[in-house]
Amino acid sequence: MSQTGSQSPDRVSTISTWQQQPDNIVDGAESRPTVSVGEHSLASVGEAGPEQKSEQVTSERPTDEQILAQENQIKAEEAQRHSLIGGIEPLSALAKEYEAGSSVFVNKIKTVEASYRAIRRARGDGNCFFRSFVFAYMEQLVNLQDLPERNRVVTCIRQWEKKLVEAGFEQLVFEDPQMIIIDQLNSLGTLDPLKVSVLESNMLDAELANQVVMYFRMLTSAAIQLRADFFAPFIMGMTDEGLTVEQFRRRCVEPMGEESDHVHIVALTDALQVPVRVVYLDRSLNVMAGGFGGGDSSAQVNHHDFIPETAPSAATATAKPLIPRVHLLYRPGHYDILYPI
Amino acid sequence: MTDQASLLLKKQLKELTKRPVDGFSAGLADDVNLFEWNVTIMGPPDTLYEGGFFNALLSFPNDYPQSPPTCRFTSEMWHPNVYTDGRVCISILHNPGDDPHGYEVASERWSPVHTVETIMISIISMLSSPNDESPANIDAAKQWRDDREGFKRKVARIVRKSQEML
Repeated sequence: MSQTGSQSPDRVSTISTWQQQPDNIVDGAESRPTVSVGEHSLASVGEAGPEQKSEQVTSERPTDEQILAQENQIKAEEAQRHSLIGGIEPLSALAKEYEAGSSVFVNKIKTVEASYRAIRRARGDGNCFFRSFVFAYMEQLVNLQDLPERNRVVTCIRQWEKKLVEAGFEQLVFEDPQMIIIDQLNSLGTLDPLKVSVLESNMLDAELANQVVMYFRMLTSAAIQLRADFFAPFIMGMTDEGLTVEQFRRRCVEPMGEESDHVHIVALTDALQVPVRVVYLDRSLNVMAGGFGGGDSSAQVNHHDFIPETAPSAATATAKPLIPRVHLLYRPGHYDILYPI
Repeated sequence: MTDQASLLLKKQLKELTKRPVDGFSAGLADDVNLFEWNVTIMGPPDTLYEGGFFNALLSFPNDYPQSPPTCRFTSEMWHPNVYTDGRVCISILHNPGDDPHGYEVASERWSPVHTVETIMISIISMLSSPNDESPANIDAAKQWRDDREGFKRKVARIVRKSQEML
């Protein structure tokens, strides 16, 4: 077994102590602990009450500086281990990592294999949802040469220009990232269309890729602002402090590296009108509605479909149920791309 | 990395030249270097700093806007959130992984949406309302808390000084 393979099960089993239930946002938005950024093993430490000053409990609790140093070290290790976006791998590669670990994971991966042929990993740097989402969506457009959908999303992105300004973003901040995205989309159907290999190298190029992530973070933030009344109660319940919508946008959405939660996904899928399916790979044994899998309840895999709320499909002649365009695999604290069979 | 940063800084320079913003003025420190800016901050009205003209140097990293610039007053400054060497210590100028205020203090950190304008607005707001809970200049913070009169006198002196330097 490889070095990486033998480490992962430990890492993941630490994560899973928080076992979250994949739920509809209505009752599940608060399920993720407030301390995150991919530094799972620190969760319990970080959750200590704010009144607990580090000086008083130095023997049990590391100092803030130590926690930050460890976080940064984990990030650096992660950066060495995974590129921003990986290549396509069979799911068996993922199963291998858990062979020495949890049998629940191994069984669940088998269930996932019945519906999905492969996985593509994103670096666990807190931006993995955005990277995975954008890559999977654009790759599908490229593979299917789906020009109607391309036209729709380009129009949609252009319509967001005004709303981004209204949400408080300066045009000069988002116009370049927006152009990078639209230029790639618009090349489809031309003599020199975007290819998956070019998309891959663009998303591996930190400067380009981070601008794309930054754009979609702004879009998500603006979408949350636009429906502030809808999101406020979920945001309020996510942390002990009860963040306002404005604070949440500034602290948890706009900064790079802040992890995404249900609120982010709902906002982005609504903003772009792109339905997303998230498949949950965790240690939960509950048999949930909406899951799939065989009779063995330990191998039951839950998923949740994020279907845009304001879907205009009913108004058009092509009214049909919105099937997910993007499939993501969620392991507590992390998102990767899944490829349906 | 520098392409995006240069482009974005150039745009901001053009925009701020065309449409100046109340409360500060900004330009390049050296005409050939987009990454070093001189800014002059007008002491905000109805504060102790009113009437002052404070110069500061904004230095942008090559990976701006992924990482924040640093801001250092070159004019004399006396403020709980400004180090004695002039460096400004406000949360938005720190990356999430680089926070001198500690791990648990939830405050707004750097994000790529910030521009010279929004940074200056934050610094002007810092002048209006010092935060003595996480001071950069402990003596200034102590004086702000315990000897407000002395603090006012000291600030009045640096305001006068800044006017003489004009």
